[in-house]
Amino acid sequence: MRTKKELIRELEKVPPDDLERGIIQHLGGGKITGKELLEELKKPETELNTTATDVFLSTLRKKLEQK
Amino acid sequence: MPKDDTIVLIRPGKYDDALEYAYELTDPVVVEAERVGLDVTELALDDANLFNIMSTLNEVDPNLVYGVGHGCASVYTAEYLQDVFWTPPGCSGGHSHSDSNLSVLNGRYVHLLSCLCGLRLGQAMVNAGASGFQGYSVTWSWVIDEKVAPTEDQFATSFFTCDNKFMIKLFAGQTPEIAFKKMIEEYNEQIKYWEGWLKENTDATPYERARAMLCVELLEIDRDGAVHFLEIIQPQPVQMGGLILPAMMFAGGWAVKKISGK
Repeated sequence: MRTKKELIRELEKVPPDDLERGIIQHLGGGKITGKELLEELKKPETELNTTATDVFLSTLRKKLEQK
Repeated sequence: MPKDDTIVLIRPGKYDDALEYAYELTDPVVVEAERVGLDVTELALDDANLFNIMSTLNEVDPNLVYGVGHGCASVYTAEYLQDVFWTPPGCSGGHSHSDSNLSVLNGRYVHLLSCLCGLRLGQAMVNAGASGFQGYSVTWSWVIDEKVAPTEDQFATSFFTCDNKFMIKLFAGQTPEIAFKKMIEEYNEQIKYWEGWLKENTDATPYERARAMLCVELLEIDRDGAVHFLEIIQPQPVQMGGLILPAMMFAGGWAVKKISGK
């Protein structure tokens, strides 16, 4: 079982150029880079979600926080 | 009456990277449909537009409709984000157009590989006469490795393998319920694979390990967000004293059996 901390730790080790690359795609209309994901995972609280990407990231963050 | 063993495949793939991945990695569905000898009509890339979709469904009269594309709770879109199906006005999240295009799905089984359509659109399709619907109530997402082409991307392929399984099992003559179960089993197999991979590849690069970790998490989200709406179960009239009252008065509408991947 992976935790949010473990994922953050791994993402922080990814070289900057690679972190700029896409890491997630979704059929709500978007792509998320490693850098965007890392920033999102570091946010302490859930914020207002409007786009499909926001909703998705919020879901993922909550899921990881529960582990 | 829709024709048996006839399928229309809607596969946009040009608008953005997500659709390009989806187009490339759902190709096994087309290959399998042709291999088993179904009557296949594919609307791909620029052909995946509203005019072609509506006219083809009317002309070909398939009993199976497979659609890939971007979506939200109440709308499914084809190439260039063109709206194709949406919830009728009056539904929660209803689209502003006066017609929802859902009547063309009457008697047909629909599978949408698209984000969130399982929240409202799927049930609206079944309410409008579709014989069943399988889709997702979550933002259907997958992990990518941009250093390789989509067809070489083992992370992305893992996700599409799961969803493709549903159609491939249907083509093999399985019922939608069994096909759904097999698809969920495939998600579980893929999750197990990436968990094992992480244990065995402790010396892999952070780039790979972060992706493998995400595969586990996202496959679980996709699996748990899979929904399947089965046939409409018509409520029976209710007798009260000497009166026989329409069941709709009590049931509030048609009942749809729902199964989720969770």
